[in-house]
Amino acid sequence: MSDRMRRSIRNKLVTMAIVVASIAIVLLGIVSWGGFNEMKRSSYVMSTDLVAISAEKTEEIIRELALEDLKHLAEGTANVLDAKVEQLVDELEMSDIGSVVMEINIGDYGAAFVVNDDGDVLIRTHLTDSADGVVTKKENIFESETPEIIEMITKITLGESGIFISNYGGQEMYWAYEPMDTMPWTVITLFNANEVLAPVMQAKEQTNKLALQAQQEAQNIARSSMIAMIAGMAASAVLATLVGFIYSVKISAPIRKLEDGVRRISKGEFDGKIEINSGDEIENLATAFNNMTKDLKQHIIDLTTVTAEREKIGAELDIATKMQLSMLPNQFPAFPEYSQFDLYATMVTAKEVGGDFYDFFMVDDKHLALVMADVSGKGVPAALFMVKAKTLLQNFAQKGTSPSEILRGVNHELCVNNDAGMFVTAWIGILNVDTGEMNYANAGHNAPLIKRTGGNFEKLKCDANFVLAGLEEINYTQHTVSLQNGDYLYLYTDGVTEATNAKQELYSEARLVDFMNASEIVSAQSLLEEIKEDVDKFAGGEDQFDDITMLGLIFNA
Amino acid sequence: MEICVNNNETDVELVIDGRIDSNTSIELQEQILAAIEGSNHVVLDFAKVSYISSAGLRSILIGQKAAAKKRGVMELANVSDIVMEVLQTVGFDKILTFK
Repeated sequence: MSDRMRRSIRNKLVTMAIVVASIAIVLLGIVSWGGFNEMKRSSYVMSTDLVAISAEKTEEIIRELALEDLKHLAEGTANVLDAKVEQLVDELEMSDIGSVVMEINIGDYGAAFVVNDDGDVLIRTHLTDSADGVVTKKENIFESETPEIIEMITKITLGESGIFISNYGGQEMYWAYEPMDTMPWTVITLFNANEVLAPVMQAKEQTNKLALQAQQEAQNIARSSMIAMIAGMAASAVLATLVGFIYSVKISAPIRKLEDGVRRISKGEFDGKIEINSGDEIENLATAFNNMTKDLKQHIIDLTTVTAEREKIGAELDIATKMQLSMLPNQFPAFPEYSQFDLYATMVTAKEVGGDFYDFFMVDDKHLALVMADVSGKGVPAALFMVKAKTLLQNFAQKGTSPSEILRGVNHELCVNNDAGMFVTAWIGILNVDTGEMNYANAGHNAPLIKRTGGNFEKLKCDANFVLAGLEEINYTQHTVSLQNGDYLYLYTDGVTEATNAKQELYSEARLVDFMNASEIVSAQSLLEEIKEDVDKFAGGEDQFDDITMLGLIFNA
Repeated sequence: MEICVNNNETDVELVIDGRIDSNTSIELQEQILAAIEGSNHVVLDFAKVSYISSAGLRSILIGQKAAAKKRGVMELANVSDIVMEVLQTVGFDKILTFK
């Protein structure tokens, strides 16, 4: 699985399901754990308490019953003895009394005594060597130092009956005493508490055992419940993961479908439609996507058409530019038969076809016409307008009229039907190649530069007048200059001085003049080439918006 | 280039900011013609115009012609030396009105 796919929506959803389930399970676990522990603890406490309480209660009851029993035993014995005394009267023997007492079933640890009012023990059932219980060895209970027994003796002396508990030889003993009516004797019965309580203790032990068992059982139940719970948790974790996985697959499947669709589109297959019926946002997205695909397809078709058209237009514009260039005289030396002048001209067109043009032609065998012009705007309209202006200028010049007349005539022609508001700046000069006299006129073009022998380049004096095709009935003033041997005349368009570098700085007329003055003039062509080079260096590869058009002429007298 | 139009009581003022070249001259032309359509006195504030190309000159010329046709006035104000030099070169200074 790639790194990208590890972060897929499916995996994120599965992770989310697992995390949510885990949190729920852990919380449930913590709560249940506490519950189980509480249950364990309370079952333990409960059973322990129960055992303790029940044992205590039983002991108490048994003790009470034992004491009661003991009392009845003492009473019964006293009554039986009284009856025996009354029955036998004179023939009463101690052994008769002893036999009655000995018949009392009082248990292994119990005992019965008969004492007289002096505290002498007359009969005792235990620790005796005689079969009828008659005591031969003198023994007196009044000598006892046990406080309870001393208290009993007091009661006996007063002829009262009673019960009490004492510690006798480290053993708990239950006592009951009952004075006889016929004789000044008292029947004393006693139980060893251990013997009496033995069944209780046994029961207690049993109960304890049962309680322990119950505890154990409770703990077992708790443990198995815990195991069941943990198993349940594990099962629900697995289930949550499974459900999460199924759902995430369900959710992510349409997204994958969409992804495949996008991939197909990017390969350029626009015909496939993405079918998603998830009924959620993804379905909406798919619908939107399908619409987009449809639109995109249409757009591409449109764009292809437009591009094809544009390419066609571009190609045509390219041809137009070439045609425009081919309309300018570009064979050098232009007039090899004339040694009176050295002429060179160049036009470097900008990216977009423009409206610059230069022209030169012999009006007659003595007169050379020089034209430098610039049509406002760019593109095909400017190029078309340029063709019209160039043709008109040539036609009017061929008539042999003066520059001002030529401009006036051309202006008039160009103004007709010029709804587009195009205009042309133009400079035209007619040079008499024999005398060096040149008549010239300007129609809003930048003034040419002229270098007289030994001097520097400077602007050729001329009125700006007004552009061609702008307004009707314009008069163009005419000037005359007399060229001397070696004079250099430089015609150009603002594409030269407005060449722009990356910092949006203009090449400028000042820089042009400085450069030209610093140059050594070898020929008309060499200077133009040097200027072009310097302009390129200045522009530093920036696209130029304007054509760069120049014409140079050196007059040789 | 940006153009800000101020419709005043007696005139409409177009404050032009930036270069007027073949890309921006179309918008300028539309704005000038719209202003002349609505007012007989249009002022073009050239204080922030740093450059004007031949296409820009054409827009000005078209504006001037439109204003003259309806006997309105189109004035140029605060023309910088650089722009004025261009206007003089093409002879526009003779046909335009300056404030």
